[in-house]
Amino acid sequence: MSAAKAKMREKKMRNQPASVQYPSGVNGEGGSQNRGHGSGGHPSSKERKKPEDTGWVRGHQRYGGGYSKEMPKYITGGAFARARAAEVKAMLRAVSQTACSSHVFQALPKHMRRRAMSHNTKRLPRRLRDVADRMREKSLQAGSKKKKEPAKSKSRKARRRHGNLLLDFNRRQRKNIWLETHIWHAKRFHMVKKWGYCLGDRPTYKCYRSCYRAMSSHCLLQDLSYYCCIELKGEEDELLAALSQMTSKEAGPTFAAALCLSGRRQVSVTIYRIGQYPCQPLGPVTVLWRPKTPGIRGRQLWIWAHPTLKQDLLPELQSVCRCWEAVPPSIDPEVLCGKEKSAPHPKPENILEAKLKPGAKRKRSSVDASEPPVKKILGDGTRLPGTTVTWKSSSTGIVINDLTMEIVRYRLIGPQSHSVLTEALEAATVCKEVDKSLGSTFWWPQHCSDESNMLLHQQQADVFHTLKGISSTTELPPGTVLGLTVDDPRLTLPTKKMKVLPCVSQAQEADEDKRKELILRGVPEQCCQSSLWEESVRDDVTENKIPEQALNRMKSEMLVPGSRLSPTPPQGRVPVLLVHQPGKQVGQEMSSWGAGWDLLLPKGWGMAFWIPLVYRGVRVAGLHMGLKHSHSKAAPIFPHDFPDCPAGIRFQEEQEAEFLDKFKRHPPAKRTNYIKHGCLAPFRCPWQQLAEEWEHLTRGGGDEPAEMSVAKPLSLFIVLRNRKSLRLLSGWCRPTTSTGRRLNRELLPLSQSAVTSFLSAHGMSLVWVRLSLLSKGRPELHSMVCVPTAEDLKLLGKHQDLQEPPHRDHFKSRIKPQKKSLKSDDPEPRSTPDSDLIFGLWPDPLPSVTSHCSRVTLGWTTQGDFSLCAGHGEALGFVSVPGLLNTLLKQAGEHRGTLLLRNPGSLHYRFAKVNVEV
Amino acid sequence: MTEPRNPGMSSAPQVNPAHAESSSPAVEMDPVEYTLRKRLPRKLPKRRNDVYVNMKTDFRAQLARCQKLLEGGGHREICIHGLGLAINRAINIALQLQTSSQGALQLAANTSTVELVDDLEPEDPDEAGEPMTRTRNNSAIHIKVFYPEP
Amino acid sequence: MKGPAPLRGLSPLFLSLPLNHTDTPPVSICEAAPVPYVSSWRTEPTSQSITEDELGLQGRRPSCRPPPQLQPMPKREGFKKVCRTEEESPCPFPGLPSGVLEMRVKEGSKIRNLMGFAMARMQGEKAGSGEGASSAGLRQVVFTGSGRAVTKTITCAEIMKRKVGCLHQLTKLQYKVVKEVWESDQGGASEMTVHRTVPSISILLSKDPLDPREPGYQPPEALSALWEDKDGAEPAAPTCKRPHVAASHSSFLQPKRLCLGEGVSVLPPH
Repeated sequence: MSAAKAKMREKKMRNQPASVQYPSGVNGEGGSQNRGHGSGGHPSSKERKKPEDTGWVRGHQRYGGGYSKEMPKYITGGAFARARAAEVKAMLRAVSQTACSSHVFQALPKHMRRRAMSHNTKRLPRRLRDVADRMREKSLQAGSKKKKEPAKSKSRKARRRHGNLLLDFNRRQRKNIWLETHIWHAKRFHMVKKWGYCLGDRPTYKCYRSCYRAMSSHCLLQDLSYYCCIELKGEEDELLAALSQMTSKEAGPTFAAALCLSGRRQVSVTIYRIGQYPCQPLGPVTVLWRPKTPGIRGRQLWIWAHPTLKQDLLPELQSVCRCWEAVPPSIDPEVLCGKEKSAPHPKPENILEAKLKPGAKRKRSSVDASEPPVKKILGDGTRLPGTTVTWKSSSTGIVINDLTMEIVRYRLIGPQSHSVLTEALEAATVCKEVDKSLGSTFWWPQHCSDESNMLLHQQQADVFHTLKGISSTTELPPGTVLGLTVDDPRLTLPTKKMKVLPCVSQAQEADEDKRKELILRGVPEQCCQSSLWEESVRDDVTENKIPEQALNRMKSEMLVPGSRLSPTPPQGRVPVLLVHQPGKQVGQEMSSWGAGWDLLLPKGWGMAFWIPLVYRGVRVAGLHMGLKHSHSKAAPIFPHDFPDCPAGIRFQEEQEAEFLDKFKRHPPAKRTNYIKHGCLAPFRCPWQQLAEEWEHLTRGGGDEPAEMSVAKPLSLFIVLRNRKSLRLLSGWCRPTTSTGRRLNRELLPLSQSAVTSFLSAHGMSLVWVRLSLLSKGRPELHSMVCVPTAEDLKLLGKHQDLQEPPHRDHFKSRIKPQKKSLKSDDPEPRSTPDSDLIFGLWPDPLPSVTSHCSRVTLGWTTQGDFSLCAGHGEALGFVSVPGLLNTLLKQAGEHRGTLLLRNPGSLHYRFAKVNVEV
Repeated sequence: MTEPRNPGMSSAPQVNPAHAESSSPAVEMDPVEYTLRKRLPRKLPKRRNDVYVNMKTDFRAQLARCQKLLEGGGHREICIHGLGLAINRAINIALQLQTSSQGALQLAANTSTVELVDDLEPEDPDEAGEPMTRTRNNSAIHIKVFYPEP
Repeated sequence: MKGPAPLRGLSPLFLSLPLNHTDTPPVSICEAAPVPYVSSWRTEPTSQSITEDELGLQGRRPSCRPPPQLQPMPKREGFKKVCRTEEESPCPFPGLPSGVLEMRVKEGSKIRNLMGFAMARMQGEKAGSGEGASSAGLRQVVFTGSGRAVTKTITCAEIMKRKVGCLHQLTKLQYKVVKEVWESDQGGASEMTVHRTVPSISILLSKDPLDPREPGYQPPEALSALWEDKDGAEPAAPTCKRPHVAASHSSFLQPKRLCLGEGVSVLPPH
C-alpha cells in the first residue's frame, strides 16, 4: 500500500517546490530534500509520519504542531547557510514555476488576454512565451502519460459476461437497494439515489405531457416497490388495542374502520406517536388487513409506509406492541436469499440445471468446480444476512415482520388501468387431475386439491372477468381489494407492443348485473383473500420461478411458433393482490382523477409482470411524475409535505442543503438576490416561526401576551388534521355568494366568536391548502402566500392579469453592503460572519416572517406548478390557521378566500383562490 | 359531464327494484354522520363525433368545437350529450348550431336516464359500520345534430 | 337562484292542462281533473334569468337595455318586470290530435305533483272520481318545458317512461320567444318590452307507435342503442304491460283511438 501512496504523493508533488527541511541530527548535510524530484530514497509515509520536531520545517505541519517551541541554543553556520540557500532555491523555483493548474496567460490582466492563447503561444507577450511553451510541453507529456495509466479493468466482453455482470451488479447493490426493475429503468431513466434506493426519477426522453395524458386517459405505470411493508400478526383485539393508540378517529379512518377490518378495502391512516394525537405525527401509511381466514385464529395486517417513515415507525410499532424479542432469522430460505451467494435449493435443482444448460461451457465448468453459482439478489441487497426482521412479543403475542422488498408493488394510474390489468393478466388455469394426483411440490397443485380453494378461485376469476366490462377505474368503490391467482404473464406476452382499449360493448344481461353489483358493492369479502399473504407460498413462488431463459427455450420448442405454451407449467401460477387506489378524493373539482390499481406481487416476479404490462401500452413514470400525480390530486406527498413529521423535517434539511449548494455554485453576481425580492426563506420554510408569529399576532390585541408566551413557549406547530375542523374551515373559505353552499352542514357561520373558539383549539396550527391561480402565472416551490389588501381586491375585478403591487424590498440591499464593508474593515470577525453570510440570502435570525413584505405572509407553498388538468397554475402548501381565519374575517363575501401568491424569485403577486379540501 | 346539482333530481324516485336494496336507506341518513362523495358518471363510449357538454368549459368554446366538427371535421352528424344541469347547455348548443346553419341542420333529441353512484362514508368509521353506496338517477339528453340526407 | 317566489308556495301544482295555443279545451279532462286549473301563462318569478349560454344569440332582442341577463333582482336598474308572456310557437308535433294532455313543466313545479297527475291520467284506472274514470287512461301525453325547466321536463318524461313502460317517445327542441315587459320603478311611464329566446323541449310520449323516421323518435326501452347508429326502426309491437286496456272502456276510447290513427302518421315538419 505504501508504494501506491508514495506514487500518489509523487504525482501530487510533481510541480510543487520542495518543502525545505533541515533535519539537524542524523543527516545534517542533507539540507533540502526535493521530494518531488528527489531520485533518492523514497520518502515513505512512515518517515513522513514521524514528528520531526527538531528540524526546520517549512509550512504548517500536522505533527509538529507548527514550529518547534524551544529555540535552538546554537546554530551551525555552514548548515544554516545551506539551509537558507536551499530555501532561496526553492523559493526561486516556486516563482519561476507555476502551479500546473493555472495557465500562464492568467498572469495577464484581463484586457491583455486574447483568444486561443493557450494554443498559440505567439499570442502571448514575449516575456511569457518561454514559460508557456514549457508548460505546454509538460502538459502534453502529462496527458500522454496519463492516458496510458488506467486500463487494467477487464475487457468489455469479459465484463459483460453474464456471471461477471451479475457479480458486478450484486456488488453495486450493496449500498443502495435496487428494485427488480432497476436494469430496465437504468437504461431509460435518470436514476437518483434516494432513501437508500436507486430509483428512476424521470425518463430520458421527453414525455411530460404524454405521461399526463396517460394518467388522465389511459394508464401510467410506476414501480413503487420501494415502499416498505410491515406485517403484523396477532389477535385482532390485541392488535387493535395496540394500534389504536397511534391513531385518532378525528383525523380520519383508523385501523379499525369497519370495511378495512374486514379486508375489503385499503385505507390510508395517519400515524402518531403513541398517545400523542394532535402532536407528533409520524406520517401516513396505508393499511391492508387480511380477511379472516377460516383456519387461522389471528389476524394479519400489512402496513405500507414510505422508506423514510419506516425508521420512525418500526420502533414505535415495536414499543406499542411490546415486541422486543428479536426472532433470529432462522428460516433457512430467508437467510439464503438474503445472502448473495446462496446455495440453490434442493427442489429447484432441475430448473437450475435447465438454466445452465444453454449457457456457455465456461459457466458449466465453474459449476463443476463446485463454486456456488452467482445468484441474483432478490429483495434487500443491503441487508446483512443476519439482520433481524422479525420481532415478537410474549405478552401480547403480536409478531412484527419487516417485509421490506419482499413484495413488489406496481402502481397503475389512470382510467384504463383495469383494462391493462385484465389484458395482461389471466386468472390461473386450474390444474389437471393428473397433476393433482402427482403430488407436486409446487404450491398450486396442492392448493388446487382443496375444493373450497377452487371455488374461491372461481369466484375471484369471475370478479376479475367482470372488471373487464367496466369502462373506467373510477367507477369502482375506492380502495377495493381483489385477491387473485394468475398465470405467468410471460406466457401471454404479445409479440408486439400494443395499446389496450377498453371493451365496453358487452351488454349481456348477466354481465351487466354483475357489473352493477361490483360497482355498488365492491368485491365480496371472501374474494379479497389471496395466497400472497402466506409466506410459504410467496417463498415457493419466488424460488420456483421459471427463468426467462428456460421459458424462452420452452417456447422455442413449441410446434407452432408463437402459440401459447399449452400446458401451463406447474410453477407458473402467481398469487397477486390488486388494490384499488382512489383518485382525488377531496374537493369538488376533478373528483376521482388519477384513480388506479396497485398490483402486489411476490418478490422475484417483478420483471415477469413488468414487461407484459409495458407491452400493453402503458407509459412508465418515475418519481417526478409521481409528484405530479399527487400534485394534481392535491394530496400531500409524504416526506415533502409533512413538515411536522420527523421524516419531513429531515427531508426539509436535506432539501435546504441541496438548494443552498446549488445556489452557492453560482457566482454572486448571477444569483437571485432573495433579499431584494423580500424573500426570507427561499430554501426552507420556517413553519415554527410562522406559527408562533401568528399566534402572537392574534393574541396581541387582547389579554396577557406575556403570560401566554410563558405558558406555552415551546409548543410545536402542528398540521391541522382534524376532519371536523377542516370541514368547518373549508366552508369558511368559500365565497358566500356562490349558491353551492353546503346544506345545513355548516353549523356556524364565520364570525368573530366562532373564529375565537376555533383558534383556542388550533392556535398553533397550519392547514394544508390548495391555491389555484385566477390568472396566469406558474407558482413555484416555496412561494409566499400573502394576504391581499383592500386596494388589491379592488384591482381584482378590473383586470386580473396585470397585477403588480408595489414592493419595498430594497432596504435589504443596504444591509448587504453594510455588512460587506464591515467585513473588509476589520479582518478579525471575518471568519465568523463569512460562514453564515451568503450573498443574496438572509442571515440566520430571520426578522418577522409575517410582516416582512408589503403584504402579510400567511404561509408558503410546498408544491407548485402549472397544472395540466386544471389548466392554470396550482400550488399546494400550508398556511397558518389564525392567519387564514383573520384574513377570511376581513374579506367581503364574494372575495372571500382570495389570496396572493408570489414566487420567491419574483416581485409579482398573483391572485389565487384558496381551498381547504376535506 | 357535470356533477348533477339539479335539486329536482334528488327527488327522482329510485325505482330499479334490482338495486333497491343496495340503495340503502337514503332517507334516514343523518347528514352529519356521513360524508357524501359522488362518483363520476359511468363513462360512455366516445367516438370522434361525440361531444359531451359540461358546465365547466366555456360555452363558446364548446359551441365552436361542435361547429368545427361539423364544418371542418367533415362529420355529417355529431352527437351532443348533456347530463343534469348541462342539459340546458346541450340544447342551447344544438339549437344555436341549427340557427347558424340556416336550417340546414336537423336535430334529433333523445332522452335517457343515467344511474349515478354516491358513496356515503361514515364520519366515525369504527362504529357506523360500512360505508353505504346508493344510486340515484339523473336525466340526460343526447342530441343528434345532422345534415338530413338529400 | 332563489328569487322572490310569490307564487311558488301558494299553488301546489303548476301544471297547466291542455291549453294548447289553440283553444281546444280539453275534452272532459279538465273537469275530471282533481287539480286546480291554472291559467296558461303566469308570471314566473325566476325564469327571467337566462343562463349565459343564451347570451350569444340575442338576435331578436330589441336594443333597449336588456337587464335580464343579470340575476333576478327586480330592483335592478330601476326596472321591474311586470309581466312575462310566452309567445305562442307552433306546435312541435304537427298533426297531433287535440285533446292530448299537455303538461307544462315550470321551474317551480313539483315533480311529485306533476307525476301524480300525469300518471293518474295515463294509467287511468286510478283517476277514479270523474266520469272519465273508467277509461284506460290517455294514450299520449306531451311534456313541455322551457328554460330552466327543461331538465325537470326530461325527468318527468323519464319517470313516466319507466313507470308506464312501452312508451314511444318523440322529442323536439325549439326556441321559444318570451316577451317580457319591464317597467321603471320611479315613474310608471317608461316601460320596455324585451323579447328573449329560451330553449324549450317538448316530449311526446305515446303508447302507440309513432313514426320511427321522425327525428327525435325513440323506441321504447332503447337504452344503450344511443351510441350505435340508430337503425332501430322497430316501432314494433309494444308489448304493453298494461292489461287494463279492456274492451269495456272501448266506448270512451273510441275518439282517442281515432286520434291515434292520426298520431301514428305524425308527419315530419316541412
